[in-house]
Amino acid sequence: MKTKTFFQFIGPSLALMLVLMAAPLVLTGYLSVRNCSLQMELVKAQESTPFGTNEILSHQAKLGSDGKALENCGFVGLDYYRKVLGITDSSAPKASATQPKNEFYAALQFTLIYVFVTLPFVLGIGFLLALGVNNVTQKLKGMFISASLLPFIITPVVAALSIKWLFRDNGLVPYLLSQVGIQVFWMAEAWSARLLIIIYGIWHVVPFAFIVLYAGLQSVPQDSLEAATIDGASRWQKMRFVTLPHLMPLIVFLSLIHLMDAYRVFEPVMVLTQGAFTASVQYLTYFILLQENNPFKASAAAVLTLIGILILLIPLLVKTYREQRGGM
Amino acid sequence: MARVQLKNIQKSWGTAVGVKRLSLDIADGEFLVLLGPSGCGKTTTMRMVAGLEDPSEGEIWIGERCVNALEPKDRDVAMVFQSYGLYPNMTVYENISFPLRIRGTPKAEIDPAVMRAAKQVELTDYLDRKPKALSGGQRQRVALARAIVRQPAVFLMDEPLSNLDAKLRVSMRSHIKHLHHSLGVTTIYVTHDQIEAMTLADRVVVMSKAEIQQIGTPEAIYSDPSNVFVAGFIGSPAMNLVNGNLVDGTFVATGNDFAINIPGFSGITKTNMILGVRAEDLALVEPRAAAIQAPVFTVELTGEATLVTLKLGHQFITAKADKSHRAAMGERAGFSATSERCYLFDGETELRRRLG
Repeated sequence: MKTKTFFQFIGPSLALMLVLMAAPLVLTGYLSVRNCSLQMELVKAQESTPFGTNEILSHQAKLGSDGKALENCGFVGLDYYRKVLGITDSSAPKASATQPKNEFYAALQFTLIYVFVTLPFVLGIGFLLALGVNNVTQKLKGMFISASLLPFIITPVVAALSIKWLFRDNGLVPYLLSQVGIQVFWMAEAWSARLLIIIYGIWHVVPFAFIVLYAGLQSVPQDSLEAATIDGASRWQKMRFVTLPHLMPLIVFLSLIHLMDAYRVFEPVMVLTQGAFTASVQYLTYFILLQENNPFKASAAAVLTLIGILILLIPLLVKTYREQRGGM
Repeated sequence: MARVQLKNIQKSWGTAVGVKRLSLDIADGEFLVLLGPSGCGKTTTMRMVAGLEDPSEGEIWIGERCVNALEPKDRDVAMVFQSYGLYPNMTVYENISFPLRIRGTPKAEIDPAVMRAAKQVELTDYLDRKPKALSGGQRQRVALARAIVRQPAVFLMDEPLSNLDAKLRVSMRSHIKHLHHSLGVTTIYVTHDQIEAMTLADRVVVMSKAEIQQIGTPEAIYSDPSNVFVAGFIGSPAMNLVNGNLVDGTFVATGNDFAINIPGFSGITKTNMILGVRAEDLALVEPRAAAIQAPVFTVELTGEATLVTLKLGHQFITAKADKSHRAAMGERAGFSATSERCYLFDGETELRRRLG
């Protein structure tokens, strides 16, 4: 194909990717190494009161000739990264590395817990559901599929709210548990708050894994399954040697998507706990932006989040790349 | 190695009948081909022997055992599938050794067995490859090796050559025949390809509409068909079948287009008969002297012969002439039939009318 034709085909999507993905990314990176502050000046003002005139000094933003505030902008290098990571300039990291005192490490820790606890459950439950639906009669399939997909269809915030209402103090679940003598204030303790968010994460993403794996099950080669039956394989061995290898590319795909998605977990943290015991790295960015009102530091946190995702994905990407090149 | 017996087996799904009251006795070491058009029940019959389907009625015996209640893996059969049924994630070696590994064969025995099987199908150079990197013929050889590695009592082959191109099919056919000759294992082979059936089989079972139409050696089903279906199904080009009546031993085609005296039927008169005659048993002759004469409808050159088709009223009749024969379409041509090689069938029952 001619180079020109090639670019005509990929042009539109390339342009969209540049505008919607690359540009914001570069901009965020740019922001993260800069800082702007208002130029301040001390202004002497005279205050006239009925009791006399006072001269007061006040700290004000300096205005330019056009009446807008003047800003001092400049390159600050990795200052904000250091701040987010809690690395102090003079002394080498002695406390931060071992003790997750720093809010970023705490957020990173919970995010990683969330990612790696939900992943096996999402894949496992999704696979079991897919197997189950695959085995029910044709008539019931449609119903089961629709029902299983519901959690995935609901907007994340609404889904998180519905979980919250189930588990809030005096909610349905605590009430039922109290009937059997168990009293848990779900949002008040670290383990239960974390557990809730993880439960939400599993519940919300399982349908996606289910529908992908169910589609995969439709194309399992029947010949190979029957050959395995005759060769003497048990049910479990057929699963292990025929079905699972067939689904493997889909499982890798699901893992990739889920790693990316879960690492950016935000809505349930926002809705369920507002970050109590459970700040995620994405939530941290939001928190910095909102509480410290510092877009530069937030940008640094955002870039760090991105780097984290890349580090998570590298092993899987390398594996996929090798398989593609090796022709499987 | 074992004798296989099907005793009155039937397979039905609700009211639909896949195989109707079928009985077969397959001798030890025999190569039996189930031949028929798609949907005739041949594959279902084989799958019941394999244990992939349960018969609704009847018994299946392999050797001295009734295997109805046995799982496929306990029946001591091996099967080759149309689309190979290989394990795509395993290498050729792992594919071939799979039946042994899964049955817990000692490691020391696996390797020589795999090498022996691979050698028999000429795959020793490809053991490290994955099926994806093999051609269709090679993949089917892997499937064959996987079947023979276990030395089963019965081979089942479900249209193993149908996915291969024409040239490969011919060479694989001879491979399979040679393999059967050297191993001597009872083989049941399903196909819709009559050439495969004729070339491979010790005996052919022609099936149609869930029933056996005829069982016999390839020679017998070709030259002694027992009904209209078998006569029309076997042979290429298909046997000419002409409707007409038998009048005192002479077959008169509908519309009085021609008449042929059939030896041995003199004195017999019967309406609604079908005359069957193969293209190679018709000779092209001078139109004036011919029993059958009409304008040439079409001429087809196959390379080894020329097929000349005449149109008689609503019926067509084809003769096989020498490859050098040239006829012009529209011109009149004449056929004469070797009358001993004409078959008569009852138009109603479609069964063969024999002498005596």
